[in-house]
Amino acid sequence: MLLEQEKASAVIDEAIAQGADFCDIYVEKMNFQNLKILHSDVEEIDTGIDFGLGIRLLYGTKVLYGYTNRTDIEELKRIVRTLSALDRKEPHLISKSFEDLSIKSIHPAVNGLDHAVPMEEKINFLMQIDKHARSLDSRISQVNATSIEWFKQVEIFNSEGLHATDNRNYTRIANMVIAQDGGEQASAFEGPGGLSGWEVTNRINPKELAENVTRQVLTKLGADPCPAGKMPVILDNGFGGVIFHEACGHLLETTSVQKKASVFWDKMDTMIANPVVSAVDDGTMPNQWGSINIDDEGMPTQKTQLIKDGKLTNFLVDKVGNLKTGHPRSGSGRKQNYKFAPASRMRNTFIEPGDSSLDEMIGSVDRGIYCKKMGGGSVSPGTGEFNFAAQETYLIENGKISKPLKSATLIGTGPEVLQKISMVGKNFDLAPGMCGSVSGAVPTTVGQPALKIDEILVGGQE
Amino acid sequence: MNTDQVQELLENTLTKAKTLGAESAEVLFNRGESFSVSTESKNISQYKVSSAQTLGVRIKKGKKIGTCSSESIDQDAIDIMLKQALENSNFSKESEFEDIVAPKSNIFDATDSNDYKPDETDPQKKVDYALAMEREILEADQRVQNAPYNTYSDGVSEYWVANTNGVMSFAKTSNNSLLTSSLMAEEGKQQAMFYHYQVGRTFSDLNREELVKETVKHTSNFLEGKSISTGKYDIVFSIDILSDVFGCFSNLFSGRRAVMGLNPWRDKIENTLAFSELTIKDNPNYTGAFGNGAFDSEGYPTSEITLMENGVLKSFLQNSSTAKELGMKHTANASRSPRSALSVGGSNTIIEPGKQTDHDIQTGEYVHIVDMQGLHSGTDSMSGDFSFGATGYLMKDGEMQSVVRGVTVSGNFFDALRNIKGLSNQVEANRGRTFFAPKIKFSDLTIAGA
Repeated sequence: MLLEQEKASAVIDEAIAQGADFCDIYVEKMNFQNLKILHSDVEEIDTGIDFGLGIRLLYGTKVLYGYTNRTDIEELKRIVRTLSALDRKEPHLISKSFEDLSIKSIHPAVNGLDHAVPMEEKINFLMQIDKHARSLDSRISQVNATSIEWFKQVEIFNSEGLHATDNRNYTRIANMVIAQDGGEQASAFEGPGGLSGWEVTNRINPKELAENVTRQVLTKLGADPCPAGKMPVILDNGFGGVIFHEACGHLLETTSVQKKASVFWDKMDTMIANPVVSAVDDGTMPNQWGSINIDDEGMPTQKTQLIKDGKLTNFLVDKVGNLKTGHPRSGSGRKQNYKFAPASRMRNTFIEPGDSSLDEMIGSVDRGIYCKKMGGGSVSPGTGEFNFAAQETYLIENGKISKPLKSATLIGTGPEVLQKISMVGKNFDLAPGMCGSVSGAVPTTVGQPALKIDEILVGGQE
Repeated sequence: MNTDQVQELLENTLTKAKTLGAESAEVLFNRGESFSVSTESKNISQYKVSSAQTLGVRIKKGKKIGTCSSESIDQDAIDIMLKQALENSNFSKESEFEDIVAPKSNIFDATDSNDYKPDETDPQKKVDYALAMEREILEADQRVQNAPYNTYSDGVSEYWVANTNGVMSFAKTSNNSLLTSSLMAEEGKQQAMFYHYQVGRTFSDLNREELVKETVKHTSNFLEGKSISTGKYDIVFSIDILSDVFGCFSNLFSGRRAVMGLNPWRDKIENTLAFSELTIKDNPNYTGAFGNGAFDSEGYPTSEITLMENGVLKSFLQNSSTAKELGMKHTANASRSPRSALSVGGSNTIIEPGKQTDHDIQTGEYVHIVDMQGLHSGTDSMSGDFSFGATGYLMKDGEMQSVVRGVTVSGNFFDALRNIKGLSNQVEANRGRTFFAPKIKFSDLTIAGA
């Protein structure tokens, strides 16, 4: 237990006395350890313990939020009084005793940071990546292999009598490789991981990881400039899903829908995508990087069908989003840490598999590009204008891959690109990343099978 | 805690570190308070107050360094942190270079009255200000559909560094900021949105009217935006976008990144790498700037550094460790948060004025870029390649010809620096007031459009 129930009761009673319509307390303790290998040696070990709590009061749909590292009752009551100073009214809620939310963890972790895996084992794993990458090609000039581990303990109380706890173990292996050939240099990155303890490394083959990133960086080195202009694009599976995340996912969060700052805010039950497109946001996938047991408002998470056969079926909804839009909560209230109020956020978001093969898609293109590996991106929700980076890219000529190309940014608008997805592949895969928005950076997974987009603007140099 | 109590906490932590086996130690302590109010649909959507602190330690034992941090500062938490830092040092590589060496200085309270201005503005006044800002956006133009993001925020922060050599320095800063946005729609045109922000040291420094006017002006212009033909164009970035672009390639001046093998200019000191008028400095004491600081994260007094002079690379930003390892001049640019390892960082970036007038720079046809998307994901700081989404204006002889939207700008940063056509003789500040530069005309970057 991170905060005594008596203190939580006293804080909520203070909020009730100030006339709040709702109050919750989010308490968090996070141990972290980042281990970095560089120059084939241990470069850094960053560790620490973050601890703090956030108090949220709602007056109607107005959110009042305060946070602190202290847990003494005077400080907590002071925050409640400061927050409510401009909104105080006659109390109308009745204090409720807490009832424990009983849920079984669907993301068990064996070797989290709370179970000391020997440091030597971690160093050895990372050194395997380093050594193998360096052995593959003499042009590899640097390897930065880093393990990132968080053990997050969360406790939530609210004025409706909820008391929920959750333990979240995250482990990620971030690997960057630099290559140099004469005066030309290039870099590539890949970072597999999961809502899991160190055992996630059982499904990461360090040699395969080294080979994947090395292939990407060597592809870029000496590649021709990417063509510029509108053309058909094949996006391969896994991190290719960043296009749906940026082009559509953010526009389906009530964070933007409730402000009418999403081009999709009034499109429920209408066709917003080509009928070959079905998309899901699922927090329940065991041990996936974007998964959760409960959201940061204490609601058990869900699988949410966002688009079915091209039709918009659900938004991602947190408590305030529910109050403002009337759409049901989806267990999507998330935040980076206690310093942020929760907001509706994605979890594991992906386009469901279709029935085309990658070869069929490439064969259907006379001149375009094939993006095997994507980088990050961003979106302006109000206009739906998005961008994302193509990291490992090849030219397609006459239905065949002809040569590697340098990186380029692809841009478009969500509504437009969703209509231009004409083929959906079978080779489904997921890839982890960090997503930044109003409630901070949260772990999310993107995913898709390969997709063919009939036309998109490619920001190349030729 | 008052100043004496913080000093006592840091001294006790250093003493305990030595008691537990550290040969030398350094502690950083950050604390701050903040306030913000956001509005939506003419009502307060979020009202936020906070107080937070972090204590971080870096110890040396033998030839090894260990770090650890804690947001709790009770004695138990501090003991755990110190023991963990010592434990971490067991697994660190032996370093001939990194040490805790900053000597005792005469800097104690380095708070500058220009950077810290206590503000007693009533919270209700701040709330009213934020609500008025949103209302003015909504009423400025009938095509404004919404003002999705409107936030007033302020805060006070305090940064301490102390070590076992006797360093004990701290400084306070205050910050106020305004963020707004407008979303506009017009029949037959693609919706347009623009964000804008402003910073100040006090509430009275903020200028809501100017921010609203600029925000609505750009959004209104963007509604008219169209793609232009794919091809090579001369480009002039707005001061804010120029700051962002240079920020994406900040590794080029980093001694830390050079040590890591992640700085493509590592072996290029004294080489000519850019246009002959390009002179870039890091200045921690620049009048009116927001990145000023009298001491770095190791506790060394700071000073102005010339990074590039007339296109020739002169120096990297260095801490005591990177300078030693690279055999270069120490520049007192250590940067470290309590949660992280020793690195380097800049203060204010200053690009010196060039020889041309603004009128010279604006002669001929060029694209003036005022908004970019995908800056970081579209950048490879090793190869120098970049490709961003862009919005701006096609200009001719200083007159706008058309609004440009839905295009990308791409090129290679190293080539772009060599192919600069000219710098104006007037220096402007970015909105964050940490980057000061004249207008720069880059030649022959690729725009992908229609």
